[in-house]
Amino acid sequence: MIFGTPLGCEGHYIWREMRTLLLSNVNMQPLVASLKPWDVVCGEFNSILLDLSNSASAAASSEFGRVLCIYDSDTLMGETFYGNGDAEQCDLLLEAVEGFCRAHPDKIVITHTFCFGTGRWLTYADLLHPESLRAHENRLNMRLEEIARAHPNLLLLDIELLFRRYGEDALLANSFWYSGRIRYTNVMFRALAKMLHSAADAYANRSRKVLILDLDNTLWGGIVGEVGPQGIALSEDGVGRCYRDFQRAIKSLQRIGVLLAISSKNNPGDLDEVFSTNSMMVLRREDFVCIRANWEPKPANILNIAEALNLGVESFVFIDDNPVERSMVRTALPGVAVPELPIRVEDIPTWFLREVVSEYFGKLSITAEDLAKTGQYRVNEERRQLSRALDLDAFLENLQIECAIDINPSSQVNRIAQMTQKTNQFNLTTRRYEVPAIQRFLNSPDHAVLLLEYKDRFGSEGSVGLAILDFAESRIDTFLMSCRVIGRRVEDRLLAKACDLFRERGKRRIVGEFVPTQKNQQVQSFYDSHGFSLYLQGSDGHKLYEKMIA
Amino acid sequence: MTANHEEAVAALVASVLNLPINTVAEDASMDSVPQWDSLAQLNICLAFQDRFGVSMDMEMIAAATSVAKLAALLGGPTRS
Repeated sequence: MIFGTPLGCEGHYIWREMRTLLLSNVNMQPLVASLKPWDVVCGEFNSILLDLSNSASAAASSEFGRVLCIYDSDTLMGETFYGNGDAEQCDLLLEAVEGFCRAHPDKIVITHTFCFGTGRWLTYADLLHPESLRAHENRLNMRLEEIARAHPNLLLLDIELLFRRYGEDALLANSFWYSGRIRYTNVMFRALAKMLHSAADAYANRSRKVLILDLDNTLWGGIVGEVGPQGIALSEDGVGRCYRDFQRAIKSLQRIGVLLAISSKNNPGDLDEVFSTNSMMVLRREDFVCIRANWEPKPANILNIAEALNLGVESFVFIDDNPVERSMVRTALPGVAVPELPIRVEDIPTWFLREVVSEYFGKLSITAEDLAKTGQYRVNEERRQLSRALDLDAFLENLQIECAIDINPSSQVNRIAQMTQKTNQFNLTTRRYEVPAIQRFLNSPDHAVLLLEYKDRFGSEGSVGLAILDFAESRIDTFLMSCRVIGRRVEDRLLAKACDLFRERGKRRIVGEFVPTQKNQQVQSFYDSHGFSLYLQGSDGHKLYEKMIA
Repeated sequence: MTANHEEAVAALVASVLNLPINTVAEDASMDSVPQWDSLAQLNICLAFQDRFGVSMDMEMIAAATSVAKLAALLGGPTRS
């Protein structure tokens, strides 16, 4: 799965060719086979500390781009008992990992939390005693977490999750441990490999972005078209709770930035009624960025969603209880991940969190943008829907656009400089200004800086338009609009305001400029279509326009 | 499990040793296959335990150093 889909991005190939060095303090050699297709080499036996600390080691050499440190915590703990202090080996490992991450910011280091076996559990006092194994473990892991926060090239994985899921009895291989220093069974080696692959995917930003869901017998039990919006199985008890828990799991994923969409063969009216009247729905209409409830083939709907979100289908996961639909999507759109559902409904919530989320939606950090992502995409999708349904005039009227134009807003100096530096397409002169230059315009009596803020009934876009006027030369020095609002005729309002200001200064003639670049062809006729006339054109394409005002 | 345990075990050994499937004979052992060293023995036993659901103790790991001996751990009739 890891390299199964052609993503076509460069990073993908670099990642694939990157060699990996596996370091440990025990015999970790059986993990190599599970890590295929990664190209993994095992370090010398028990070389983890030496390799990480020695600048002439294999780990430090340019041969390896990625270093895995998969160690046995119990062995590191050594002869540490109640009353004889900290485990020296554990401290040395922490120092070595931190030193290595600092010395090699270009290498990816993957390691895991300390996790001691229950075989070391002594007695009930372990929970509260400050020198118990658990107390050591907590302290060590807190330090490890600090190191990981300080070094973005360190990926820290929670190995305890695997012990909780599979149980120690299934993961520890005592006879192999005493026969040849192999701690784990193949169940553990496979589980570890899956975790490492998924974390590496997340690190390379190859996690998927969109979850597309079917409705009937997927988000709820039964077929809403037959049993009605109150008749579907969705409740706090029995089989309905399976679906409700599944919805809760999906909601938690949506909260960390995964976009949700629906592709379902239903009458849209039935769906509306479920959303508005069924109080057992955990997912609300506003949790979805696209809803395609119709009778079109699902691959067509999925392509349509891809177009609406401006994302490739390689970032999609599709969940549908119907094997025919799954097969059709797999065949038509091989880039879409289409996982097989468990046979039993009661296994769906756990399956989703363990298999689907960990395999496709891994994340190593969660940002404020992640938390707000659904809102942003949904608003854009609503505007897009509206623009298709109406002609331009009706669309613009329906948007209920409100613009506020601030003159010389000195508190926005950073944003204004940023706009001159970043705006490429709708930018008539493409003059890039640093903050001090903008500050001079703001303070100058011969200049005015106009900043346009945009809002419509779907939401605010913030500052999206900028004009810098030179009154001494009666010239529009800079005129630009963010591409977010192109096509909504907001530029007309900014230009009108600029003309008003020139008029107030007693100017009778305004000069406008167009300076061509690789990217601003779309505005080459801007002044022609706004009542200006061309009076001078340079050989480099630089055009000067004038407009007489009363 | 069929009587043909040896065939299944030989295939497993070949897969662990990264050898073509037909190069590990049903009479193969640690002595006859160069790649089958003591580390490979551990890997073979891990895979054997995993594949056939047989829990191997230390004695078995030390002693079951041929396809026939591993197959014998699966019980039932064998060819030999």
